[in-house]
Amino acid sequence: MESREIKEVHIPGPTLSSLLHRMSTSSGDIDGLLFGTISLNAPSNLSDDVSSSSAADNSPSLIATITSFFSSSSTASFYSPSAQINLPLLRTVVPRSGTLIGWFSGRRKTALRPSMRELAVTESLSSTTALNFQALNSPNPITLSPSLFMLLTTPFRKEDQLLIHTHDYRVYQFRLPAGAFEPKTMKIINIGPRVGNYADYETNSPFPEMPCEIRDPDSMSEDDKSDSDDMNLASKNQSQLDICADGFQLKQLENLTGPVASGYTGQVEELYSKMIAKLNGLAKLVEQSSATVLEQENRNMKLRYKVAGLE
Amino acid sequence: MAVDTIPPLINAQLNYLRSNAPFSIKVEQMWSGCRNPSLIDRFTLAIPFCLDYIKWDVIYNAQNPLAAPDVIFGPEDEAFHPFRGMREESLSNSKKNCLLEWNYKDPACLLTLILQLRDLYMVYQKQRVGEVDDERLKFELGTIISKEGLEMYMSSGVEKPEEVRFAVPLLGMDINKIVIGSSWRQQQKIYLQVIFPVVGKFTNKPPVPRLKLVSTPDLRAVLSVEDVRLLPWSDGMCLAEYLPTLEELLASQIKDAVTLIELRRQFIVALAPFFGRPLEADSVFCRKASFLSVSGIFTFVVHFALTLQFPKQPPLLVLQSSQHFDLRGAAIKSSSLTEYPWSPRWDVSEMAERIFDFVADECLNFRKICNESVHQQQR
Repeated sequence: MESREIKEVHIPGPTLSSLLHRMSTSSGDIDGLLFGTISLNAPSNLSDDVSSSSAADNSPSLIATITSFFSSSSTASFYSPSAQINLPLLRTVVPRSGTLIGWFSGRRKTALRPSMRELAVTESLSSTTALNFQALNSPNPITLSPSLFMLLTTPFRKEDQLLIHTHDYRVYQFRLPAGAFEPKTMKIINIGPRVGNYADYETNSPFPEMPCEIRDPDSMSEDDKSDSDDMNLASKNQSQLDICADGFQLKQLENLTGPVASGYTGQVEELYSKMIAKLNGLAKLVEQSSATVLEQENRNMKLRYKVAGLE
Repeated sequence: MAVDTIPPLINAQLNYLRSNAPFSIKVEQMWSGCRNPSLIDRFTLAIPFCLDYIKWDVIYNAQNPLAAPDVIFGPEDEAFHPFRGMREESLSNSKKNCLLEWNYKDPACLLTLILQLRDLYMVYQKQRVGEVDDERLKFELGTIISKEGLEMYMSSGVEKPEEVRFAVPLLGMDINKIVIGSSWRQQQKIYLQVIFPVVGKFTNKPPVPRLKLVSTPDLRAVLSVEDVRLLPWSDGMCLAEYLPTLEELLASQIKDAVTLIELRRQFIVALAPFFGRPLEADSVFCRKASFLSVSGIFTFVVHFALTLQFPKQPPLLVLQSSQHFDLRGAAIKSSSLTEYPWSPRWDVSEMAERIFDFVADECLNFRKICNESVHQQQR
C-alpha cells in the first residue's frame, strides 16, 4: 500500500520546548510517542504574494500537527531490541482522546541520521494496522498510519561543540513502498500576529469532555430514552462536580443580584478558598508522588548498574 | 576527576570483537552519551569492506548497559535497512536477526551482530550495483558475479562522480600453505581493485577502469604487490579477458617469491661459517639476521636486512657497538651500509666471504666513530 505524503509538520513552540527540556534533563537517551492530528488542508490561494501563488500546487495537502508527547525515562519503552512493537503496552499509554502519529528518539552526541533501529521501529509502527487513524477535514476518508519520526540529538563532533545551539532536530516520514525515510520541514507554530490571526488558532490540547447538564437536582429526569451508559457517565461526572462544588448549590447563583448580593460575596469567597485548599493538597500529593517516582527511578538505575558490574 | 570507564559488559563485547574478528576491525573513537560523561557507551567501528573501510557508530546506552546496541550507518547509506521485513520472514530466513535473542552476558554477540550486518550490507551493495543503468557494467558484473569472496561498492554522493568499485579476489590457491612455516592467523589474499565510472549509455569506447592490486598487509613480508607491473588495459577489453592473464602472472610471481625465500635462507646459512651462529634470525621469511662479531677487543653486532629484491640488491648492513653508548644509554649504531662490492651472480658463500672482508675493514672506521662520539660526550 502506498502511503500518503505528509507535506509539512507543525509543532507548537511550547510542545517543542518541553520536548527539548525533557531530553536535556534526562540522564541518558530517551524516546517516546508523539500525539497530534493530521488534517487535510486546502491551500489558501488568497495570498497577495504574486510570485508564489501562480505556480503553486492547488491540491489539498496533509499537514501533521504534533500537540503532545509521552516519554518514559529510558529507551526501548514500547519496542523490543529487534524493533517489534509491544502493542498491549502501547494501548495502555495512548490516551483515548489522543491520536498516535509517530514517535521520537533523543540521543546525545550522535550524528543527525536515523539509526538502524529507529528505521525498523518506525516501519513496525506504521505497519501496525491496529494503530491506523483517519485524517481530519477530509471529504473522503483517508486512512493514515503513525509514520512520523522525530530525531533529536546534541552536537557530536568537536568542531560542532563550539556551536551556540545545543540541540538539533529533524523530522521524517516513513514512506511505502520505498520503505525509507523522507525528511520533512518542520514549522514551529506560535500564537502571534506573524502566524496568521488569533482567530485561526485552534487549541489542540486534549481536555476531557464532561457531558453534564446544568439542571436542578430536584427536577425529574425526562429524557430516559438516552443510552444508559451515557447516563451513568453523566451522573458520575455530576457527582464529581458536586464534590468540587462542596455544597454550593446552583440555586445560590440567584443571589448574585438583588439585596443579598453583599452577603453572597462571602459565600463565593469561602467556596474559592476551599477549592484552593483542595488544589494545594493535590499539588502536594503530586509533588510527593513525583519524589517517590524519582527515588524509584534512581533505585532502578542503581540496580541496573549493579547487574552491569558498574559499581 | 573520574577516569573514563567502559561498562564491563560493553567492554567484554568490544574486546571479543577486537580479538576474534576474521578481519581487523578498528575502533576509531569512543565517547559518552550520558550526562555523566565518564561512562563511555558509544564508539565508531571502521570495518573493512571492498578494500576500504565503512564507518559505523555503535550506540549503547550506559544507563541501560544490558540493552542491545543500535547502529548508525554512514551518511551515504541512509537507505540501508538491514532487518527489513525480517519479522514476517523470520521462519524462512536461515539467518535470524541476532537482535531477537540479544544476550548481554555473551561477549560474542556484538561481533555476531556486526558480521551479520556486514553480510547484509554486502547484499545491499550488490543490489545497488545491480540497479545501475549501465550496459557495460551489467556485462562485467555478469562475468564475475560467481567469484567467491567478490565485494562491490556503489559510490555516489552529491559531489562525487558515480562509480562502481569491485574487489575481485585473485588466485584460487591457498597462499598460507605455499609459504612454508608461515604463522599467519588470517588468510592471505590478493585482490584486484577495479573502479568503473558509470557512463550509462553504451559507447564504442568505454572509459578505461582504474586498476590496482591490493594484498592483505602480512603478505608484504614475502611479496609486494604494489611492485607488480599490471598489464595494460586495451580498448574494448573486459575483465573476463583480463583476469586469467593477470592471475597467471601473479602465480608465477608468488612462485618466484617463494624461491627467493629459499635463496635468502641459503645466504644466511652461508654467513654462519664467517660470523658464527646468528644471535637472531627471521627463520620464516629470512628477511633479517643479526650476528655478534669481534675485532680485537671491540665487540659489535652486525644486522643484515634483506629486501625482496635480494640478490639483485645487496643486503643493508648496520653495525651496532656493544661497548659504546650515547647520552640516552642506547648503543651507538652506524648508518645503513650498502656501498660495498657486490654481484648477484656470485654464489652465496662468496657473497658471505666478501661481506665478511668488508666488515673486517669497516669495523675499524666504526670503532673510531664510536670512540670519538663517546669522547665528545665526556667533554
